[in-house]
Amino acid sequence: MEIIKIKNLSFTFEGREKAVLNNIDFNIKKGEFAVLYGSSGCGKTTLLRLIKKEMNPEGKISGSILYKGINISKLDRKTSASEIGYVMQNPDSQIITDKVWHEIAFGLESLGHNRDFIRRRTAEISSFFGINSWYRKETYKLSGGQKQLLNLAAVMAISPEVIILDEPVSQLDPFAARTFISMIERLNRELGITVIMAEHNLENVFSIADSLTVIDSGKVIYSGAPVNCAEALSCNSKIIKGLPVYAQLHSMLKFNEPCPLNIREASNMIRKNFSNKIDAIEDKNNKKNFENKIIELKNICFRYEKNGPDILYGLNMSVNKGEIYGIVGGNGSGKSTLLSVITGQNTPYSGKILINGKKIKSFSGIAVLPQNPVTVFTGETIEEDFQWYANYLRMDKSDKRIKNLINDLDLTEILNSHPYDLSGGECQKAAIAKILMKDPDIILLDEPTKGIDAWSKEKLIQILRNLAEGGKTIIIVTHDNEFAAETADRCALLFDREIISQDNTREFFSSNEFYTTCAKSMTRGFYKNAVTLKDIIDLYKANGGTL
Amino acid sequence: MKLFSGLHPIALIVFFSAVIGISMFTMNPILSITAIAGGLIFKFMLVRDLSFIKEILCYLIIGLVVTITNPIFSHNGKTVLFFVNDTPVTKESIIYGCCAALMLISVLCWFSCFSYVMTSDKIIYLFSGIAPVLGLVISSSLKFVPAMKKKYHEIYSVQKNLINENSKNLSKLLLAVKSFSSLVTWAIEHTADTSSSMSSRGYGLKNRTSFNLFRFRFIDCLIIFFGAASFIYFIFMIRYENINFIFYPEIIYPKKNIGYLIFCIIWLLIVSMPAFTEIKGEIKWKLLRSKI
Repeated sequence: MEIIKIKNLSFTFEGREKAVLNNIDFNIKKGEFAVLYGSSGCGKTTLLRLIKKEMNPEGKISGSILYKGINISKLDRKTSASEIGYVMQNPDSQIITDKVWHEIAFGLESLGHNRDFIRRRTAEISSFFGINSWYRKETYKLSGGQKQLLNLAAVMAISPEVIILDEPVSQLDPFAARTFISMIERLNRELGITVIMAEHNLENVFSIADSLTVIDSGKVIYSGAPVNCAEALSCNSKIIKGLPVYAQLHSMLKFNEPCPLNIREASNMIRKNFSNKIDAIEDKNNKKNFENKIIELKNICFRYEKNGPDILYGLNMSVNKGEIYGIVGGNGSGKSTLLSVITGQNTPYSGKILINGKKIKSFSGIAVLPQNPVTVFTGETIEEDFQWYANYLRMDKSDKRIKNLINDLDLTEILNSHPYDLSGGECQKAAIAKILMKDPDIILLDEPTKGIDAWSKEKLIQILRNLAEGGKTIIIVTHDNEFAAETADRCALLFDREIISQDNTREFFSSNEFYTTCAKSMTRGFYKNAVTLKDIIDLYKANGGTL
Repeated sequence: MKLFSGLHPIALIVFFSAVIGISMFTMNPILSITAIAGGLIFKFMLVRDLSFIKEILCYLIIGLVVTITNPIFSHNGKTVLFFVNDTPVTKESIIYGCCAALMLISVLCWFSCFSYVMTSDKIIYLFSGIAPVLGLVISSSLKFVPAMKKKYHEIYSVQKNLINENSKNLSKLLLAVKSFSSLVTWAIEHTADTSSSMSSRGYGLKNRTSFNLFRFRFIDCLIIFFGAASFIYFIFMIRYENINFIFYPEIIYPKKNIGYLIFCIIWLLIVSMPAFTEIKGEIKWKLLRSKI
């Protein structure tokens, strides 16, 4: 039974010429786990907002969206509010009240339920979601993952039949993201809730989704089971990037078997079809010789408060000029604190920071790309912001460097946009351009892959490589092992307040068994040091395979 | 086991209004001192740390200032003690200053207990009794302000890296202005999201109810009754009898009749009740815990 039917849907925003959505047709069955996939800015959010009446954007709509046979626009407010739940991307801005219990009760209050009912329902929901221990806490004191879980709980309290989620985990770290996704899986499997979820990274949901609808520039280009999508999408190089590594591999090599849905199946596929006569990659270019240490940390100890715990203790680290240095580590291991110590925003109580071998009080040659790149901008448009900053730096407006930056990073089209209207990837590129304007020697990136799609990630890797080749030193702090493996020259693991291990990226990830990349897990015990998709393909070719 | 501070907000507001209301209109050192004693013990049971000593010091200073200032400006009273620059300083005005100081301290002391006990959720509950929207507005601003502060620090530290503080004179100001303008944009985006989150969860439908975690118990009834009754009795006393001292031109004590005596007893009960219940709760808790 179809719960939502979308027929010939087209939509154009108020005051725009080009349609965002073009003749969209698809149905969602009751109890289905449907995933909408596409790169950012493809129209996923618009489509989701059109399904939820209260969130409808302004614009011209044609075609129809039916919920249980009734057109969404004719649905009465109470049904819409109580039967369709909506969770947005940003965990912070959806929270309305100051207390967790009040947040859960909010929807029930709106629907006019009585006290005893709300009391029971909030208790039920909190138990289901494991919120008991923070039930009476202030909402602003929660972590990002807890906030998003609270948003889901608050929506579920109204007991909707359908929940719509718009990239709900893109702002979370991988651990919180997994917790969140498994909660949605529980809601779907245990309670039969229909789930419609937009995602630009399929890694998390590939094995649990019932159906996958792929949207590219406003059109549905694939709709069906995830198993078949790899083949169907193999010709679209942009879209394919967001699939899990094993699905990408499958689509490239076109084996006559179904696409693997998890690492176990992928590992079997590799063992069945690949040979491992040559089982290791010989690295020539990765062993670059770096001689000049540009930044050196010696025995750094840092804590935020006098009587607080040490966040960093006896930390040693050195980064060479012109290299890309990746720092990985779990949640709360102090990665962002380490960055703030390097930039000089926080001062360690013991230890030395040497830049080019000298101890300098403040060093202006460090630029930081923050987790939320939008905080870099203060102007109304990107262009205005750039102009102001160029002025501030006493640069000439027609300075070649700015023009080059805009060209190199491909920003011409977005110069007139407001920073908040940009997609994650676009905003990040613009932010990189801005921080490069002061011509820094060292660039620090804090979780650069957060909230950007696979395509933008690919571009970011290219940008960083070019910068490193141009002599800049880049330090990346990330949760994203895949990204670190593809970008960094050397990687380090931050654990228990210090850098535990530090090695060339390939050695680093191939000697890790658990904390490593997807490609390494897939080829564990088969290939010695394949850590990226490219490595697997290279080894496949070296063993005589053909594409 | 915080019995008194765990009362229902309505009971608390009635009780505190009665105590603070009565203390404000009594110029009677005996009643004021009783109130101060009860209030201070209660406050100590609530906070139990060094900040309590600071508070007492603060009261002492206020008291001293009021006691000294009154005779400087007021020269009423029969008994002249001495002259300063040809102006008389009277015994009555000194005593009046002293009593006024005690009254002021008792009010301040109970206000500080009140603000400690009335946490944001209780205040929100009371306001949503008047109008549901009012409670919600307070609640969401209590969430919004800390979020905004945090965002400002985030933006500031990012901008600080871009705008070099040391290079130009006005940089610090520039930095603040730039960060603030960016914060405003963020706030607009943020509230747009919040409001659509509200409407998507049915805000604006008819018959909105208001949920809270408070339970109304028998003890709350008692407290409300007790508080209200003593306040009415106090008004009666002021209207028909007298419980206040008269200072000028000479000190007259209130008539010690049965009505006055009953009032004193009631007052003693009221102001000692919060401290008493907290202490009782504490003892009970210790006893219960010893059995675990």
